[in-house]
Amino acid sequence: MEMESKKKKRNLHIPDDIIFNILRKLPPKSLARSKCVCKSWQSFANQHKYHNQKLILFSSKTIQSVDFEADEIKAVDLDIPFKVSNRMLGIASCNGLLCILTEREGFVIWNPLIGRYKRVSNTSEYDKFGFWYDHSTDNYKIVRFMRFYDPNSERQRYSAEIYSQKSNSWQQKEILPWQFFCIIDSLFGVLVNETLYWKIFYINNDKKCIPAVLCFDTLNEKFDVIISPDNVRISDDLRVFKGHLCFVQYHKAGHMDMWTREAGKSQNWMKFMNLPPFEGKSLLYHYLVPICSMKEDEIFFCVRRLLVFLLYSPEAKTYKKFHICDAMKKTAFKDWSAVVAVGIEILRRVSTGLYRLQNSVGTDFTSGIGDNCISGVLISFFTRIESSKTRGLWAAGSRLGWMVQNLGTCSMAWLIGREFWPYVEKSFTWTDLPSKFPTKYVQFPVFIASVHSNYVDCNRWLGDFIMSKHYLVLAVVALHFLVADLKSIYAKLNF
Amino acid sequence: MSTPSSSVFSYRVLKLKSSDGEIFEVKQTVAVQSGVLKQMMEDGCTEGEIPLNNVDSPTLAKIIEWCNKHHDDDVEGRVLSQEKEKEKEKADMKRWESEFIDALNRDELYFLLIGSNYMNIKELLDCAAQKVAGMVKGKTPEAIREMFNIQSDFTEEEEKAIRKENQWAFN
Repeated sequence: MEMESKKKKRNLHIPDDIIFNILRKLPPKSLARSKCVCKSWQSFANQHKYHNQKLILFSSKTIQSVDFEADEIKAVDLDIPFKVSNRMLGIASCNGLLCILTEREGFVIWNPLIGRYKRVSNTSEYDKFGFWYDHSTDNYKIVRFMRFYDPNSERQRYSAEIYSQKSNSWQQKEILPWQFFCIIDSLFGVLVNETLYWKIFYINNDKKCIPAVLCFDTLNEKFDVIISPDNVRISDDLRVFKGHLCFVQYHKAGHMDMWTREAGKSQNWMKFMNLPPFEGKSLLYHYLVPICSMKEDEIFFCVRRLLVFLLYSPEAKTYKKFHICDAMKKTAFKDWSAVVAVGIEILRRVSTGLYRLQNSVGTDFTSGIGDNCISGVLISFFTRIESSKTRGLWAAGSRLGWMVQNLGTCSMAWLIGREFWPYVEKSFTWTDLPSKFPTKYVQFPVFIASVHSNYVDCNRWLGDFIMSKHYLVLAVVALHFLVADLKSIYAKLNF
Repeated sequence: MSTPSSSVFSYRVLKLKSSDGEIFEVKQTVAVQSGVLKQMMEDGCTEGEIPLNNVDSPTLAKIIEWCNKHHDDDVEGRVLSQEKEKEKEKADMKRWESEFIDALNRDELYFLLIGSNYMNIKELLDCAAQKVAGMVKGKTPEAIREMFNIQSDFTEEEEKAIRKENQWAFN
């Protein structure tokens, strides 16, 4: 009897590989506790990563997660542990951490699995970002782009700064060449295989402003540029699909082409899939955004701005609607302040589709707002690139004027010289209240009022002002009204 | 004509010898759930008694009970046409598994872990590990050390530091 119990005691040493198999099954909190047991457990727990891919639905107030592995496909509101006084503007993810940009309160890096978070010091919310994990230093990092006027080159340029979570500080990395003209669209870059990508307008050797892709290799922290596929427009989507960078080219009739880059040296863009229109409709204004691939090669799509989900079967070339219980309703986005972003893979990345007026580009438009930090006058500029007939321009009081500098470099130079420039000059010497800055009307665009008569998208607060850009009209309207008046003003404008 | 030893049919049995010398006879089709035995069968070295030096007889009996239950006797002959039937079968199996595991005391469970790991029976190992994980959950580090007979190799300062770092997990 004693012999047997002794024997058992001796045998009771459980090999580490079995122990780790057990620890792997622990929930995060218990795993963190188990770190305190002994060194080998600690080292295992430090290395362990939960496999936890989820779809994230994001609005300015709520974050939902959807588990595709669950029995019932259901959107669950994530419990946000930190206080968000204003809106959430954008979201990115890497290795299970979410990086959330909040209005006026900067970034929060948050691990939703365990509920811990960290606020990032000293952030400006007015430009583009990227978020990634640096394996070599076990560090989470953010890159941000600040735009400034460089008197030496007489150009607007981007200064790239990098935040390190370990040191909790920002450091200037480099000044990008002026040819990196304007970073477009989504707030956070697309992270694919340790590289971050943003759509940009790039000034090529012929001084032409062309759509391109800004790349940031996070391993050696170097910037580069890739020219977009031929005929891809700046409004087409840059995405990650099956671990590859992918351009989704939308055609007016509603069909789409997906492009990716060839492996190997040439890295040419090639079309790898053509998708038919959904229900035969032109979805020009309801872009289908590919989110991820599912079982049997099906592709999961989100119809942008409608928040309808689709599954596309490449074999049958058909779409079917995909229901997610309790997903945030489209009405949530009807609110003018709301923002939609959809992404996949909590663990890896969340793509976002946040439309911001500053440096933003809509369906067929460029638009810009500049702040003149000297006088606080704001200049806004809107134009349609593709047709010279429908250019609209508007300047309104508030802060800065950089956009004009950029415009000087592209094909719209005539516009500035003739009409806009005096106002730009004036903005530098303005001493009165910004709101008294004169408004210049150059050419008011033709509106198509029927599509969005009840809301305006692409909004941004700038002090007392709200800037908004209407999607379907042929140009963009900037408003400078007091908050309280917003509703009646929209009603008056009636677009 | 053919001798039993050359047959590959399911009545062909393996003789497993536990660490305490007991012999268990197991059908090949059942034994195939063990990665180790499967490999031996493929290599054709299952003649005679197969010694399992890491598995004592009570544990081996348990392991064989599990394998017998999980072995689909005639997969070919039985077609589960109804989704519902499949679901039910799955649920029944889950219930059986949890009853099987819950009936074990801690030592039996540990031996089963070690045995199923040694014989490379993934499903059983997972099931046992899940059970142990449930036991670890919510326990203090001290209680976990006692449970696994582990000595802390942290210095006092190290332990203080790591506790502090993971304080959130203790609230």
